[in-house]
Amino acid sequence: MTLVPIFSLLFLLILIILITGRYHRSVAALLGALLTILFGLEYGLFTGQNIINELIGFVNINTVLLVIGVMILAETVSRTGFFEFLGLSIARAVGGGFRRVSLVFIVLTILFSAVISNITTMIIIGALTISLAKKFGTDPTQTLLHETLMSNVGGLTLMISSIPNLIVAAQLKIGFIEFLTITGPLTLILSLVSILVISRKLKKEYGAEQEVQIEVNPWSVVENRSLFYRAAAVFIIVVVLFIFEDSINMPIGLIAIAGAIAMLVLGGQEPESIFAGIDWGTIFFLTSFYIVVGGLERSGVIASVANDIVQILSFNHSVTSILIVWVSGIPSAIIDNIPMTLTLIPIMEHVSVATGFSLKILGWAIVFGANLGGSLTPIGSASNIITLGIMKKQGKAIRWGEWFRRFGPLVILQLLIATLYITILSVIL
Amino acid sequence: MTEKDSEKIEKFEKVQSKIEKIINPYITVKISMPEGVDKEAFLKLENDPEFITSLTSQAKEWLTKGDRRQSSTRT
Repeated sequence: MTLVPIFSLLFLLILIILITGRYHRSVAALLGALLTILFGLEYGLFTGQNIINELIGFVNINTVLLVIGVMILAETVSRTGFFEFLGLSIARAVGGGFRRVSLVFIVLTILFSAVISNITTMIIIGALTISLAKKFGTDPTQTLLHETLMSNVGGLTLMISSIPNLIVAAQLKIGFIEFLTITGPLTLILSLVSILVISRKLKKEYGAEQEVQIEVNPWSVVENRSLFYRAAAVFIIVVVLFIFEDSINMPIGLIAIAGAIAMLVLGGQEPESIFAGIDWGTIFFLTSFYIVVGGLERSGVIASVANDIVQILSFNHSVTSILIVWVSGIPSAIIDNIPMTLTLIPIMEHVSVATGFSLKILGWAIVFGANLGGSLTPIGSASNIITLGIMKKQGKAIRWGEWFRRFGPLVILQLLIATLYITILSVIL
Repeated sequence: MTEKDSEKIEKFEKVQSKIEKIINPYITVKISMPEGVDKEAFLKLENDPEFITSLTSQAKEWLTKGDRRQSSTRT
C-alpha cells in the first residue's frame, strides 16, 4: 500500500478532531505526532538509525524559540500594567463622547494586537471599554465586538503579532522590517476602511453623544514604576534587535529567547508566575504538528497535493495567490489557523519549486488569509471566543447568524482588499 | 469554551475589577445580619438598588459631615 492514502487519512483524522473540538488542540496534535511516528516506523518512513534526530529535524526550532520568547516578553510587559496605563492615558487625553472613545479604543486594539496576543489585547481593551461604558451610562456591546474584529487586523502587522506570522517569517526567512514593509500598508488600508464603516455604525448606535469627563490617574494601574520602566525598556530593545536582525547575524528565535531571559532577570517578577501565564498548549501543539507535517512531507502527501494544485491551475500566478488568500481565509473561520499555516507552507514550497513562482508571495497570501479569516465566525479566532465569553458574563449572547449579519460584509470586504493587495504584490515584486 | 478560555475570562475579571475601581471607584463593605430580621430578606438587600442608593447617600452625608467636623476642629 502506498504511503499517500495512509498519511492523508491520518491528517484527515487530526483535522476532524480539531474541527469537532472533542479534545484540546494540543492533544489532537500530540496524537497526530504519535500516529505519524508509529505508522512511520511500520512503513519505513524514517531513513536513518536515530529516529529522535529525524523527528527534531521536522520541527522548526527557530519558530518554536521565537514563539516562546515572544510569549514570555509579552506576558511580562503586560503584567506591569503598561498597556492599561497607555489605554487610560489616551482615554483621558481624548475625552468627548463614548463614540469618540470607542473609535480611539479600536485604533488602540489594532496597535496593541500588533505587539501582544489578540487575547491579552481583548482582556485589557475589553476591561477598559466596559468600565468606561458604565461611566457614560451606555451599552459597550457594539464597541467590544468591533474591537475583537480589529484585533485580527492588528494581528497582521508585525512578524511578532500572531503565530501564523511567526511561522511564515521564520520558515521563509523574512526579516522584521521586510515583514512590516509588506503588511504595514495593508494594515493601514484595512484599518482606515474598516474604521470608516465602524464609525457610521457607532453613530447609529450611540446617537447624540453625552460627554463625560474621564478623571483618572493612569499611574494608578501601575503597581511598581521601576518594573514598568525596566520591562518596557527590555521589550523595546528586543524589538530594535529584531529590526537589526540581519546586521547582528543571530537567528530571530535566539534573539527572542535572549530577550525573554533578560526580561526574567530584570523584569523583577516571579518566573513561576510568568511561566504559568504562558500558553504551553500552543507550544505543544506547534511542535507536535510540525511532526505531523513532517510525516506528510516524507510520505509524499505534500508533493502530491502541490502537483494537483499546479495541474489544476495550469499555472496562473495571480490566480494562485488570490486563491491562497481565500483557501487560508475561509477555513480559518472554522479551524485553527496554525495547522493550516503549517500545512500550507510546505505545499507552497513545492508549488514554488515546480513553477518558479515567488514563495514569499504565497507566504504573504497565507498570512493575510489566516489572520483575516478568523473574523468570519464567532469561533474563528481566540479573541472572538474570549470577547463572547466576556459578553456572556455581561448577560449578552451573540449567535452565529447575528455575528455573520453584523460582520460578514465587513470581513469579506477586508478579504477582498487583501486579495487586491496580493494581486498588486504579485505584479510588482 | 475550554478550560483555558475560562482561565482567560477569570484573568479578564481580575483586570476589569482593577480598572473598574479606578474609573468608577467603589467600596465593598461587609454588613453582618442584625438581630431580629428575616435572613432571606436581609440577603436580598445585596442586589436591591434602592438599598444601595440609600447607602450611597449615607456615605456622602457621612463624608460631608466628616469634612465639617474636620474644619470645625481646625478653627
